[in-house]
Amino acid sequence: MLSCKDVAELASKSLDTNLTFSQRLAMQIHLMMCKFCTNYVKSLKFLHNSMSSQDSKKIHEHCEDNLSTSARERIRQKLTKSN
Amino acid sequence: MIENTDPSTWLDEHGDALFKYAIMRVRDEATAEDLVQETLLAAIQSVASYQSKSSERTWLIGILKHKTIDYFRKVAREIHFEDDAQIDEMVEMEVYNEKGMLTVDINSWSRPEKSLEQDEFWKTIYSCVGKLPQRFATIFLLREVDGVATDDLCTMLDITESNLWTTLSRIRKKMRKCLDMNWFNRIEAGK
Repeated sequence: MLSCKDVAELASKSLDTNLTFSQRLAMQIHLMMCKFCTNYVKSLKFLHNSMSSQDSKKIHEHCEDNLSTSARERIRQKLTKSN
Repeated sequence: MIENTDPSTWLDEHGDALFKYAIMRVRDEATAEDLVQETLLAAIQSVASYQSKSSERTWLIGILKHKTIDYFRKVAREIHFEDDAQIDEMVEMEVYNEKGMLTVDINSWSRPEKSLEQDEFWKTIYSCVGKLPQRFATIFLLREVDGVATDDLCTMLDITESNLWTTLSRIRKKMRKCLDMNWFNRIEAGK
């Protein structure tokens, strides 16, 4: 019988690789009886799918760091030299 | 010279976007600057391979992604990411009992896909990533957003596959919890 902790590990692993038949079966049995793990697995999948969507590129737009004026100038000089 | 692209405009048009991408993954201004510079230099060298079917920015970010992976591969053995294994064990103990069974309720997220259209949702994700320790943030972004293959991540970080599975599971657990508290619980409360 898998513990909830085991299920959390397997749920994450299933997003990266194929689980074995017995792993999938053991997980299904646990999920049939455990509402919280079912919610956990669903939310992990949602997180994974939303991060791999095109929309996830929007995360970077919330980053407020920009190239400083001096950094930009250093890069500009390097680029001009290489041309 | 390819007609649709002009390298002399890249720094002004995409410099900040490239820097944002880099700084979120390396969390160091000087390193991020180096990566942006290397990316633009490499792009100028290979401008002939640019095909206008992808946008200029997507193409440049693609080059930057490879530069970022190369950077971590080079420093994997040298840099010591902060050790959070112990803190993590404590977090796990709060959630599971000694038999590994959950001791807290895990809420169901209602209609989560509706969140994707909202700018605030991505802002929350951004702030959750910012709360992760650097190593976790890097792995999360490279794996989930950039889709880097897990065997490449193992080589890059010089860790075993089973170590990566455990790490990814912990990162996702933290991200799930952060979203639960700062997004899904908040919108539930607002109803």
